[in-house]
Amino acid sequence: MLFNSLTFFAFMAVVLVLHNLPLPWWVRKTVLLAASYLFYAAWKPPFVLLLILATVVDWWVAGRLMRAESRAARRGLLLVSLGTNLGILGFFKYGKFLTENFTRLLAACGVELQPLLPDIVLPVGISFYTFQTLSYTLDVYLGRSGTAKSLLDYALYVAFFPQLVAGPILRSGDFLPQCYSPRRASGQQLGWGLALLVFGIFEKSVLADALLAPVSELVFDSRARPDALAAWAGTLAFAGQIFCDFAGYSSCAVGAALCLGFAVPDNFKFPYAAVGFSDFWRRWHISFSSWLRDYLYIPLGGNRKGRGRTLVNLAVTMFLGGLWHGASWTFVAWGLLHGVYLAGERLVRGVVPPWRLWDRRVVRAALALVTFGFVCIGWVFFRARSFERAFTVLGSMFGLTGGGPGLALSGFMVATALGLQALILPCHWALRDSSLEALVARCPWWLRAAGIAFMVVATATTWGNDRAFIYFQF
Amino acid sequence: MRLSTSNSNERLPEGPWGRTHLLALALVVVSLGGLELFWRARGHVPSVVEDKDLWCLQRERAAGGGAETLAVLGASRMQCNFVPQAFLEKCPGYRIANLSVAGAAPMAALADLAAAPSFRGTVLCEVTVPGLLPDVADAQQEYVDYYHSEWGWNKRLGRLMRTAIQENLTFVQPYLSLHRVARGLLQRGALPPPYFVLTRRDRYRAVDFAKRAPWAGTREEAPDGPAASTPRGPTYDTMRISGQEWQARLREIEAQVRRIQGRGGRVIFFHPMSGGARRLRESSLFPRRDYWDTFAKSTSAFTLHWEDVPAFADFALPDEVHLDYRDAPRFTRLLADELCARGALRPRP
Repeated sequence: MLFNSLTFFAFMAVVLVLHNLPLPWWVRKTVLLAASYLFYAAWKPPFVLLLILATVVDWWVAGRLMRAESRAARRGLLLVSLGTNLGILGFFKYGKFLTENFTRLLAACGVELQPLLPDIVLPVGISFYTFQTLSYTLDVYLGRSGTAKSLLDYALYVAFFPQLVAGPILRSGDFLPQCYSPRRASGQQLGWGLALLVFGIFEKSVLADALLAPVSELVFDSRARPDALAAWAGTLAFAGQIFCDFAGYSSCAVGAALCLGFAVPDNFKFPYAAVGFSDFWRRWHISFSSWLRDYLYIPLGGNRKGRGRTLVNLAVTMFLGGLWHGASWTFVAWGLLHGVYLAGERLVRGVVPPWRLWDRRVVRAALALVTFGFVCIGWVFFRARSFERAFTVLGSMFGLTGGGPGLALSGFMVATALGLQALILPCHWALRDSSLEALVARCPWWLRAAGIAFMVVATATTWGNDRAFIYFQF
Repeated sequence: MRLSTSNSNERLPEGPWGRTHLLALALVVVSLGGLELFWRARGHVPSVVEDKDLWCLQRERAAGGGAETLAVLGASRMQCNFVPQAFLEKCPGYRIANLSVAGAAPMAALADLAAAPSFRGTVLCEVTVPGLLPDVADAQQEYVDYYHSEWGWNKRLGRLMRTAIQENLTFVQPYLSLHRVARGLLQRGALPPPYFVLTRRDRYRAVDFAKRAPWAGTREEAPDGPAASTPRGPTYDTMRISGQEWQARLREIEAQVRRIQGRGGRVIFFHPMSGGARRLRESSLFPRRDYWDTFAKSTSAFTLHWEDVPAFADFALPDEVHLDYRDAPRFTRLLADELCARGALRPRP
């Protein structure tokens, strides 16, 4: 079920009514859980069983972990959780990819194999909820948190519909305490939650789908070589599209949760105003990058084991981070590229003196633009369906391809891509140390109303092709 | 372990949110209401927006009915020339499922019905000779695949809700999207004229050729319509088939026909009308004697070529293939009469 659909509006209206009925808290939590399973079943009902399986296995493992005394038993239980979650993820997400690459590897060694390539349907949101349940088990194993008070609370933590299919990835320490006390949205929460829902849908439907996606699709899905302007416009369009799409979804998730009285963490903090790549990953898909930091990078040793090991840890973390996004070598390349960026930034910081010059606003703005430029190069690999296409677009961007005139975009499309990016970048820069809430708090109520009305009218009157949220495929 | 990130709940903007949302609602109603009146004053009317979900609703009708089901297959000629309501005036009692798709030959839909054990009705398949060729056998496959892999209660509910809105509001039509209108204003200095194709919930498309002129050639602003639909796959100008391949293809189609007949169903193939240069091209590339007639002889299905009904030649085809909406009901009634008179179809199921 998409947030930007009439079905979701009807669903949310019903859930809000039921959630605010004068019923015992455990009944209302059960209703929320049932609604969450219904939300997930809107895609493919049988896969709700997979969600329930992941829930039950980790609930059981965590419960046994609390009682297990020997180290071997605890490790064994952790392996059960890791095996189940990563096994599910590995089969559904990487089964076909692994089979194809294994076949290619054998062929390179002179062994011809024709395996049956299974037609595996990727369950929506699987990368998100498996990481979420893993974080719960790992936290219990490491003694960072206790278990949930009941299976109902834990199941709701896993399946809570606002964040189920595309995050933010919740931590049990943040969400479970909210399940223990009855809650309904206050007037402020409901008011701001609805505004965030509208904002998120506007970002997705109008900015991402209607305005930016057609430009990026024309450049990345065409077979023709784009000219330099088209390559840049397509890349900038995709940079805007993926931000508006994903941040839009996160805004909807935060807003929907607020309408129910729950708080979920920020997932984006104006990432295109990042100064450096460490800063970028503190602002982009925050729940995912912090998951990688807490459960992969730091356990590998982080930056505590010397420079060489730090660089290796960065590379491994970003390699897996790229692979998490999809079973494709272009995603891996994107992740590794960010690993190189992060490693390079560390090396540069180590040699560049701490001049005051770096704190000047103009210099920081320039560095932010440089960071954005490198991030856009990474987006080319993320978006392109093949390395061939990625290198074609990159080549065109930097004038490295010869031959006759390439694919050109209309002036309107170029203006759309450049114009929107020219709005997004200054907005991010202006708000990088602030928040959307702080901005709205400064606006009089009638201006807020006008803004909401504008977004609703724009959404109702702007039709692009119906596109699923980009991160639904991960 | 808690996340160190903040959350929106810690920074809630204070203020009179109730009043804010009420004012926003009022502004939305006034804006959209004004927009609706504006477009209607300029002659625009509501039209259902064609998409795969709309097709799936019809496909469900084909699956759910029994012997009274009439599955109408074809491309844009069937969508625009065949009026379900007019057909039912002549042959009441049928449950019509309109599975035609503009710009796509129908054979994948026929194969799908042949493979569906629940389908026991009648297939009325509008198809030209190029539409029978292997090159375009999967032209409608994406619709079939979507129905079997994506369609479900969620999409059904969404499509029913969208249909209700689209039947009553003009401004929700894609060609009236604000960004497209803005682009049109920048590029042509004019607002879009009323679209010349109206789609109904039963997927019939009424073409008003009197309004067509401003839209001719503007594919981008006209997302759906017979003149603007992009053919899926190769065009008939480039398709060729050897004698052997043609015979093999006919056997393949006959196997599908027999599967439907084996369940008590019927299959009718109708060669639609064409005129002018289009007709000349079709008949020169695929002479009737060598292709349609051999197909008719090879199949156990009922076949009807429009040239065998003199009355069909009286219809004007403004774009050489489609009827104006004023003529489509008369054509449909005539087709129903012919099929009944020739024993291909029962007047009542």
